[in-house]
Amino acid sequence: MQWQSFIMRQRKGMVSLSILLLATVLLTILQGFFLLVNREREAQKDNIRQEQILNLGESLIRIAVRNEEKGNLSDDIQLQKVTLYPGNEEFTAKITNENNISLGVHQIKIALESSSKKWNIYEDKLLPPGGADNPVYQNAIYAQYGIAGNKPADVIVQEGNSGITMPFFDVSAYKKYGKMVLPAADELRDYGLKKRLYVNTVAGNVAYSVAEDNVIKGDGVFVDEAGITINDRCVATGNLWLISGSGIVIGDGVKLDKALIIAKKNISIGNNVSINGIIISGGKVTIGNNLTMARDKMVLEPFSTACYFL
Amino acid sequence: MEYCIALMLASLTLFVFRDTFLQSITTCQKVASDLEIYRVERATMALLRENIGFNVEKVELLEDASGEARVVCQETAAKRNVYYYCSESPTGKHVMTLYQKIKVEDKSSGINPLTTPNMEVTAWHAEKLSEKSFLLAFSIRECSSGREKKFFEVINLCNGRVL
Repeated sequence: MQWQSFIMRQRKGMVSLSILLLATVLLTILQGFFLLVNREREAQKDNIRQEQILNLGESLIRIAVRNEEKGNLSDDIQLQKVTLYPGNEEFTAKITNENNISLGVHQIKIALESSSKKWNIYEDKLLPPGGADNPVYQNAIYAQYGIAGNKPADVIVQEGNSGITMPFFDVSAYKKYGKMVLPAADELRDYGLKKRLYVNTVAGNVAYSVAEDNVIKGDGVFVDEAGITINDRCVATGNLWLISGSGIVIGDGVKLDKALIIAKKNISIGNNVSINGIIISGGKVTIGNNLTMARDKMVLEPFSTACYFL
Repeated sequence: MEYCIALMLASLTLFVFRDTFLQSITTCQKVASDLEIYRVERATMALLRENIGFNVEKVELLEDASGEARVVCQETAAKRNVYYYCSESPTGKHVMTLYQKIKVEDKSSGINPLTTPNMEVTAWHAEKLSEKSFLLAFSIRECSSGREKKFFEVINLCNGRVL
């Protein structure tokens, strides 16, 4: 009986306990609701901030590109601090205009930075190595150490003994600007090229190869120190630059509508190939049967990449 | 005895403040519906803004047979076309849903809904503002509560232009 009287004694505060429990439950529900509202408020704030940053970045890069085209852009511009609301967050904006003359790469970078976040927006402009005015580009085909095989008729073909020399360019220096690796087969199939500079970053001496029968759509620049192979029956419909620190192999039946092909070493062209553009080799060019070639000086126009952010 | 008094007090309080109590529950429901609407709008527009802002080369603003706007985007990835449009969801509830259709060249297209089935997108309208930007105006209605919000979004194109 002792334990029963103990319970009865303990039950004296049950009403106040029940009310306290009810109040706690109600307050917990209320607090949960306020937490939910607060979380949504934070998410909304982040969304507004993201929108502000995108708008700011887009406007700045557009102005920078326009000024650069007019030759009116300094190398470094530190803009005034901007305060963004809600959140009263301070941002610094900096425009960097980097010009690598020897490589022919021109990069505009917009850096937006707050105390906790950082956004970089880029646009790259590429010129043919050595500059479009280099006499080597006056030819349809130039080979430092001679041309073997069936030279196409009606195009200017020149060899190294003509006195013109191959322009110097350091292929590894492109890695600094290439934020995209060379596209895999399924990427080429499902996306095509994205108006970007693609650089091979694979360790070792592995040449990049485009599989047979591939249709390469869109514009892009492929850079590989170890070499590039475009396999049989591939078709490229856009503006394609191939820059190799080694050789380049073009397979049988390949059709390149607008191509600038530059290799430090030998270039091999298969049978029944059609190329509109310019071919420059620091070694030998070997040509197969029935090459249809037309010099297209449009490939010497600066290649502007799409604007991208990291 | 104590229980009876407590219950009586609680009932009395609820009776006296019943309107306030019911109102607060309704307000909470409205706030929850509004939050859901804003959440859907944020998720949809963040995707559109980033995709169209940086990955699109050409935007065409068209109208389908029923007068609804269709935003047709040619991506910088040359083989992809993306379409944004409103259509009745196939659930049979007659709810207009915002869809994203991706068409890869030589492949069949993939369609994904961008809004949830309990949200209806109405008055979906696109208008060219300049060569580099266009306006998206639309309303989102939460079906169960009937709450509706209007939204206006200006989409800027960094890599493309509006035809």
